[in-house]
Amino acid sequence: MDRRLVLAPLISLGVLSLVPLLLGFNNYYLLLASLILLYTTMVSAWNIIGGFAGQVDLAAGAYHGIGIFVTGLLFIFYRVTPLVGIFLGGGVAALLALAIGYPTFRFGLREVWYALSSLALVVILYKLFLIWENVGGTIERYLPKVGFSWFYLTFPGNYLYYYFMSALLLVATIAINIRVRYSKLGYYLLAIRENEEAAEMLGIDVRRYKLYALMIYSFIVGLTGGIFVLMLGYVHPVLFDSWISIQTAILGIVGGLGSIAGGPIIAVVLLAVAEYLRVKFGGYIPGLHQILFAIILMVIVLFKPGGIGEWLDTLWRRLTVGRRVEEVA
Amino acid sequence: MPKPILEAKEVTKRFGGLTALSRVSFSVDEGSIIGIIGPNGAGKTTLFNVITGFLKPEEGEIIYDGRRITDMPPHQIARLGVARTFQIVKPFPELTVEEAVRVGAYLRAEEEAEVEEIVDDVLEFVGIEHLRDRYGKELNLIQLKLTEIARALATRPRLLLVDEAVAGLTPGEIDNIIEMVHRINEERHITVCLIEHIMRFIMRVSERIIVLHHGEKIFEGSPEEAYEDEAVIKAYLGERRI
Repeated sequence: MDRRLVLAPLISLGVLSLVPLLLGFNNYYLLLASLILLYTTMVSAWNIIGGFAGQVDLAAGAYHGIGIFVTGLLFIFYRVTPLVGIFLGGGVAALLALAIGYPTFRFGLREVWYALSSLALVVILYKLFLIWENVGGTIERYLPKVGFSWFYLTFPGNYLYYYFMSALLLVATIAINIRVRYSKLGYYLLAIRENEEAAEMLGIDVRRYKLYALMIYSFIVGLTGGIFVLMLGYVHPVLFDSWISIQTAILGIVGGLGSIAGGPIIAVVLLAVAEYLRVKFGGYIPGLHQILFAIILMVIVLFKPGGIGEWLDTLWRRLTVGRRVEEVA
Repeated sequence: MPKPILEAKEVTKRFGGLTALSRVSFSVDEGSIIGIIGPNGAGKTTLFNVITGFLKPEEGEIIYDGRRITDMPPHQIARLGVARTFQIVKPFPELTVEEAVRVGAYLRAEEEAEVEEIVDDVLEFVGIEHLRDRYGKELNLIQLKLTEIARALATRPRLLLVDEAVAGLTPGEIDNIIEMVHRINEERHITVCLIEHIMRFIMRVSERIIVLHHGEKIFEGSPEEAYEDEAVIKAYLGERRI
């Protein structure tokens, strides 16, 4: 387990470092790659609440938006460095998750009802920030122009830095996934997903552990918002985007619930494909790329209902358990 | 003189207009095996759900080891040392047998070595070591029931509640379970409380039985006496008409 914890992140970081080379340090491609890594990070974080704990959370857009606003506004209003702001954004997102999750789990909201109530959070925050003129309002607020600065994490015209920030966050998130999965917390979350009553009877405080999962997830998604706003350069309530929630959950499910590798792999591949389709077809037949993307999703769900992760697990098991059985025989 | 580990005092549980349990009182001595029997719908499983905190009784209280546990949530009751299996098995389909047992073991152990020790011990005790790497979804009924017992034992309980362990099993498998219940009681010194509606099974396991009927306790005593008891016969066979 410890070996995997070190190896997997190192390998992924190594592979991710090669990407800018392959892209020839093209700034536009680096921007796209950074966005894909941020969205992939969300999918990997979602695996903790959705994959391990089995709660189909659709509030990623809300926590992402909180990260955007906290990091952005602290920078705009008080010149707080995003080095701190990003983590405060994550913290506020986690606190919001606690405030929402406590009553939600207390009253036993599960399955589709949980999904719907979490999606509502995105819409509520969007409207709230539109009305709340002091922090949101209908006009964009731009981040201060400070030029190239490590202190303010501002790198005008060069996305390579943001690419590596996103890559680092993704790798850290995958490492957290591995750490959680093979710990008491991970086993408890899986048990909750599999059967709440049985888990409860084995001494698991179901509500408490769901909250732990929710807070880890929302904290990481908050961080993605902080990096995102630095690339974007402004804040606006429209960034509370329910599509982000949907996309994260869809990719998490197609990747395989509870699979650490499945979600990130499928996210990187499908988001890249989606972007390619958009560039290729979006120009002359508007919407075609979305239809093609939907078809790809349907095909995967049709042939691999357990997601890519299940297929990866079977492969892995055949390689490892199969060998063990052969050794015994 | 053995002291009671579990006491129910005048427990009443209603679902709307239906009284599932009506002023049920009994006590279970530490170290004993007690059987709770009764026809379908007698309130047996409701009684287990009240004891383990899944349901709150309208009246009465449950005392475990001298403490009132009536208002505690199930996970706290489990922590105090009460474990149970379910009438309709509640497996973890996507977890291996080892992982399922591990979930139970974490209740008493934090250290990885300790957890593994409990898992190995329990798997061997229940005799499902060979199923270690199999997923819950790959198991048949007897294997699922044994895994559930293993999972419960991994929490290192003092009181084990077994809800209809033998329903749907073959005679050979039933013998296996009977032997295991005795071993759990004798080797692990765990008090066992069984629910069953098959009289023949309960007679071979427990020295004392309680008979529930329509939510009321109609008999308490030895299985042999139960066979002679008018009320029990009536509950099981209906009224004698000449």
